[in-house]
Amino acid sequence: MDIKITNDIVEDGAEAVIVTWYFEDGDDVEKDAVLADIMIEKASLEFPAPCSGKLTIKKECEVVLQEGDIIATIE
Amino acid sequence: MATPKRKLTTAKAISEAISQEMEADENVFVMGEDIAKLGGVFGTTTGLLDKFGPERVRDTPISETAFIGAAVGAAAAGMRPIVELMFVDFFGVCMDAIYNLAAKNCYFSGGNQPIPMVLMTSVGGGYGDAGQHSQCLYGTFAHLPGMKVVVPSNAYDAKGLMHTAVADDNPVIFMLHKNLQGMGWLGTVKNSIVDVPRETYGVPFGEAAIVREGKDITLVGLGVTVHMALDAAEALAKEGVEAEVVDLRTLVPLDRDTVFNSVSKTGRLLVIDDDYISYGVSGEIISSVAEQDSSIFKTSPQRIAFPDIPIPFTRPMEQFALPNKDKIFNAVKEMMKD
Repeated sequence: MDIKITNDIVEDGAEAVIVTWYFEDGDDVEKDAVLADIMIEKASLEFPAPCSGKLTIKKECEVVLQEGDIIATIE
Repeated sequence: MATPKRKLTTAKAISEAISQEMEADENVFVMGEDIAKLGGVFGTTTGLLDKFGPERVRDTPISETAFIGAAVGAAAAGMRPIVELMFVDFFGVCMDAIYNLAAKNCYFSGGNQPIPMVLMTSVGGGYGDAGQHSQCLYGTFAHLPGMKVVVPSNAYDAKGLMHTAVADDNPVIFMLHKNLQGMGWLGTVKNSIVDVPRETYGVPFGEAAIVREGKDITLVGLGVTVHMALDAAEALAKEGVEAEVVDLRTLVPLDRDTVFNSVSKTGRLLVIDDDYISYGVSGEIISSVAEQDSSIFKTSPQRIAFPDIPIPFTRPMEQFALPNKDKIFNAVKEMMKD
């Protein structure tokens, strides 16, 4: 499953960055575990896992993200 | 299957510890600027207002003189306040409440009126916030008797030390380095984000941690400089130098024995501190080893700390002045020649 930056996270073309990944690439994650903190302007929000499985990180911290970007996959 | 990992940032570990303390004891409450609705500018009190309400999680006006004075009074009256001084740099306007009242009331009352308050504050720079928002001031607070001083380097220690701090009947100055809190724009050190148990646990005061073992040299750090020392130790290991890294964790009480025993083994001591160099932590560590037995040194002890200047605003100048991995690496290489 692709983990995407959706338009309810970045409204009106805003940019976002991942501040913290709480898991390493290849870790097993459980549904609802906090995967990452994402910062939009100065507000930070937690990004929960939508399903359980093996995490593959596609975007590292501090990379500028926009709507539609895939930040990780969970298989 | 192994227990799922649960990493936390230092700020989240602190807010969890405070929440658990507030659940356990109705006398514990939190006060400070922007700590309630906003959850703290560094996130150390996130979620507490929703859980405990505005009576126990209190946004205050911008008057440290008033609300830190109020915390001392509340503690004297039997409450257990946790009060946040947003940046340690602003200690000037509330220092009378801290060092003349909180730190001394227990002595002046013959032990009858302890002040069980925790003063939580942010320290450190490295992200271009200039001379009034970037200081550490470890030595300033550790110098004054009557207060305990805590400087965690990671989320696990931060939570455990906060539980110990709230349980302590003395005033505790809890210094959280901005590079370790978990806010992206403050340059969070990745290795400060570690697995943290959900349950309550204490990390004792006065026990330094040996976070990396080695036989050739002792690197002593606190807060963010522990991570710089660990990075340098990893680079040194590739060149055959085995550095031992000591994380002080608390300055008052100070675990002089762990430092001394480590230097007894290695014969070399380098202290790394991002507070001002003169009259501070680095000098205290070196003298506490030297006055016990100076014959253990194979070479003169050294220190890397912030020069005695106000902290520059511009990034290149600030980075030039701060300790870092390369400065530690080069100093160790020089010390290994003896």
